[in-house]
Amino acid sequence: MTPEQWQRLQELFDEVTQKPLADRPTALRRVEETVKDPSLLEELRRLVEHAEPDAEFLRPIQAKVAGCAIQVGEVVAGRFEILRLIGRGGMGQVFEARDRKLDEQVAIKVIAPEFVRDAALLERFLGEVQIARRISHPNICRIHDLGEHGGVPYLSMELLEGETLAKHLEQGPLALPEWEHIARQLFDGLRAAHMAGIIHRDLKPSNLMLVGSRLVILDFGLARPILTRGDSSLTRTGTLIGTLDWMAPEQLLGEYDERSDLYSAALILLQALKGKPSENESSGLAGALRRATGDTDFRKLLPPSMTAAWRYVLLRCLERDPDGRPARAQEVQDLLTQRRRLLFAGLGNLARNRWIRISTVTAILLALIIPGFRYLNREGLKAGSVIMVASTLNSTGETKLDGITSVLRADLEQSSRFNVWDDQRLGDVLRSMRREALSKPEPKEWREIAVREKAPLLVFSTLIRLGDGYMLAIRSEEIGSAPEPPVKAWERSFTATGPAGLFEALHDAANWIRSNAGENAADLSANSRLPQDITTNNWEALQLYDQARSLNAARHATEAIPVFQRAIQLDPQFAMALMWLGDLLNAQNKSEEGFAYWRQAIELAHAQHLSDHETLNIESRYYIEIKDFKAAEPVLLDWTRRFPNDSLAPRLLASALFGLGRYEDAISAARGAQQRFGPTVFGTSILIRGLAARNQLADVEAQIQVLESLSAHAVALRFGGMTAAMRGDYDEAARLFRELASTAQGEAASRAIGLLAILEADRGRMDEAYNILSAAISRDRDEGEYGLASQKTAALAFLEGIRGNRELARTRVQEAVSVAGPSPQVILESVTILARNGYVDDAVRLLKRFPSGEGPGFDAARDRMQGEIAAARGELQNAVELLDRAASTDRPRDPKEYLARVLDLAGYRERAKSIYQNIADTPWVIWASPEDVWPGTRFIARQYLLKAKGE
Amino acid sequence: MVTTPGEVSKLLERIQEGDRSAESRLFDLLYADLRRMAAYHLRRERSDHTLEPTALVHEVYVKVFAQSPPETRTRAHFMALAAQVMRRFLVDHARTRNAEKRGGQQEVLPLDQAFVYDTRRSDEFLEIHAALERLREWAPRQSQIVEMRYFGGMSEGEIAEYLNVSSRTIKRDWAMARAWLHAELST
Repeated sequence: MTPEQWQRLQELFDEVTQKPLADRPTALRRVEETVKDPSLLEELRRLVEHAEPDAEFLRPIQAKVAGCAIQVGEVVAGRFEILRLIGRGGMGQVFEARDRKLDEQVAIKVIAPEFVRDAALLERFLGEVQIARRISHPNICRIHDLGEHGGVPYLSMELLEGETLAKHLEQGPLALPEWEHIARQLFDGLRAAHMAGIIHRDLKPSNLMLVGSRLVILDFGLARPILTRGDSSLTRTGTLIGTLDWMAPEQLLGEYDERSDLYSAALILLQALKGKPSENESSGLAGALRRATGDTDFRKLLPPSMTAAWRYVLLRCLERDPDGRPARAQEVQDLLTQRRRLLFAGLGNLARNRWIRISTVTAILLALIIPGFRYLNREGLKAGSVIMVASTLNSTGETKLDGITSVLRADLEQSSRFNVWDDQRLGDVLRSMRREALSKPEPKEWREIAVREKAPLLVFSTLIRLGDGYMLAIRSEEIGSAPEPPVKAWERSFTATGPAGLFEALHDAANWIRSNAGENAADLSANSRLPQDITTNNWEALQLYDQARSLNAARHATEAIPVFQRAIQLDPQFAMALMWLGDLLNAQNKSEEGFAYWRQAIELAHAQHLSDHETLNIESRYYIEIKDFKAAEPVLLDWTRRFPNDSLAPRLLASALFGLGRYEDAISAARGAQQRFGPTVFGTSILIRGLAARNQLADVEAQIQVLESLSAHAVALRFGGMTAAMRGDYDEAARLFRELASTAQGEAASRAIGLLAILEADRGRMDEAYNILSAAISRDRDEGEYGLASQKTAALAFLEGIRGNRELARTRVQEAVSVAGPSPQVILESVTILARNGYVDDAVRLLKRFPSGEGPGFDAARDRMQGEIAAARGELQNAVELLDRAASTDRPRDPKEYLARVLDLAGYRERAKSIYQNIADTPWVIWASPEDVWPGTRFIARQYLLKAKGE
Repeated sequence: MVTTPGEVSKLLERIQEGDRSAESRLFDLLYADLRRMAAYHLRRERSDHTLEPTALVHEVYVKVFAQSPPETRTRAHFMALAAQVMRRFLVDHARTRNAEKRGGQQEVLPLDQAFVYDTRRSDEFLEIHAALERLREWAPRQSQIVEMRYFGGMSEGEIAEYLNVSSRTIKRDWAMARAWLHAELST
């Protein structure tokens, strides 16, 4: 191009670009009509196209070198007489000046021109200065005024006569008492600033001024803005990122908050103990990188004479991960003062609650003494691992906050990566450790429990009263194969202003624990409902809930029920309490009431009163409970898909598949869960029942050993007896059931006796069975096990009927249903016995007491009772239809003796025979759920087949 | 500091009088100072010092003029010169950086310890530098305006004063040069 061509081009370019953007195409076309030179036109089109580049393009990289807006000798704002240049700080020059108005010396800081250039930057800076001005604190350099002189902003500040810490350190390190004095002032200044919402970002020895023994932090709010992630103007300018030597690791990533200041402060204080940096120490970027990669062991740098509290504070502040540090300077002070107070004051009043006292002191001493734990292991725990949450130590004296453990657990249970240890096992575990089931384990014992239960992460929490608020201290320990010492530990504390704020603190704590253990941010945020939304925000209700769960864990279910009920009275929308109550009532045969609570819980779950995890749990368990396995299966599949690391879901799935009669599928689901998550009693039991259904008795034996390894001796004995009975080894079976009856307690012992009766009946010894049952019933009554007595009485009534004692059968039935809330199973059996013995009216009356439950279990039972009554009335065809329908909805594993009996009466001999044949040939149909089957069902089948053969 | 305020002032006076050799002498002095200061600030005892090329030039300026502010015209001269210094400095730095990346053995300022350059930016310096060299062949004024504004951070008013043309001309030149550079760098 020639200068002439360029000249011409510029004229045309001006002509077009003077027009508004929309009119330029027209202007360009007009030019094209007059100008004939095609290459010129092409170049013009190109330039017009590029006429409006991004504002960033060619933004000056150099500041306006305007020099000082303020000169020595000048009088600024008619008030400040500029005396001399003191120095040049990060943001510009500092002058000493005399304030004519107040007749005192001040410092005038002129903001360097490069900061004036960028409007957004300037605004941010001025905003911070406005806030910083409001801070009035002895350890922060006071900013008086903000003004403007010749287009450049300046600040008037307190003039300090002294030397910087950097200069001071040149004379050598600080002695500990002086150091402590300075350290306190530094944290105190930071606290005041952080409370005002100001972060320094550029703490360094050269902006800490020592005025006598007073420490003053300079340049608060004046730190030159550091490269911020996402702040493109700064990134593009590509300036320096700050003072590398004192920078917190996260600042290398352009991230900072209050905790970055704490890191820098601790680093400076550490340096102050050593004096000048030594030659072989890496500085600048290299040093910052070294600290960021965790190569620096700060512990070694602390003098042995330093107090434990300071030691603890410094190491916490120097955590590489900001999450490991105190959240703000206030917390540092809390740590320094609170710990002392607790350690010393605490020893004085041991009497109030000895346990809390001792444990508090122990916990704090542990925290102080055990150093350990530096940066997080970012790989975290294996997915599917178990997190054990030890009961929170509530040392506030406010018992209503006892529910805090349950809140923390409920929050953690949302995790899709981890499982929270089932605290309902605590009672059993303590018993196996020969401890009282309701006792509270000490930290040491918790570690032992974690090892036993194979929980690699154990979470301790302590709630401390802190002024008007609270502090929740969390300590997460990685547990190895031995209880002590922990492999690693992390600590963090969370403060809350009042009980309501505690929920947030707990939520933060739960999130911290989860991310600490390796859950990624996406999973974390996908399942992070607030704990008060999934439990309740009523602390009294939570306290009761927690208490009820402890009672239940200690196997005091009966006492737990009213406590849950009181919790629900306080908050009728407390879905988790409703679910528990439903569960417990069902287990106590109060299923009508139980299901009502359960349905309420499900409704609330759908109205989002539970976490997704808990909703899936409750829904699938409800379906299993009402034996609607078809409905349970998709819910469980959904659960396993969305929470692939949940250890309960595949086991429940196995249980549902078992209910559906898909034994092979059940076995593989249960086996899969066992291999992935390790064996549990529940999972192994399902596996055993599946294997028994497939008659794989050798595998059953192996799984019984697994139960033994889980210390589940009682369950092992029960399944051992079952297997022996299935093999036909009645003596061995009887021996095992007897052992169970004598070693187990309460319900398990009573059930063992029931099994003995069933065993005798199965081998055709009906009288023996009768005697055992009669004795067992009075024993149950003596022990207050009315539900079990009722069950056995119904079985006894059945035997009376077989013996031909119709009257006695009827009396027994009346006894069986006279208990408060007879189980649906007892009513079903009683109606059947009444009908079969000719008491049709009684049967019809009793039928009305059958609960209005839903699901295939209830539907089948209703059809069965109607069928029995129809048969008793001689309506055989109707009876066959009803019972046929019952048999098809009933659980596949049920022997369906009722159908065979009526088929025979109605003349369908072959079908009857084939059902009886199946019962006689398959011992498992009895042993799959022996208590749901008539005693001697197989004996009756064999008798029938014999008789049929004789005919 | 090798450059003494007196020497700078004297050179500036000679520049005012139209002495081109004084300009190149001052350039060399400032450039040498810039490099020396960069090295100085990077030594351990000053490693807590924040450092920017702009700040360096600024520091020279303060040292030279702190006590006796120059009259506007001298200041404009100084700034125009500083823009050239800055340009050279950054371009040299980007080149040595690139050379270093390719394994070259050239003398390298230890700037990377302290500077965190956006690498795109450093390539951009070189590209703009090369384009400005081309532009200078047929439009020397536009090329210089870009230099003063982009490398020197001078305002339109200052440039107009220095070049002794109207602000409107500066605006037009700037718009055109910017469009042209943008077009050049986009292809």
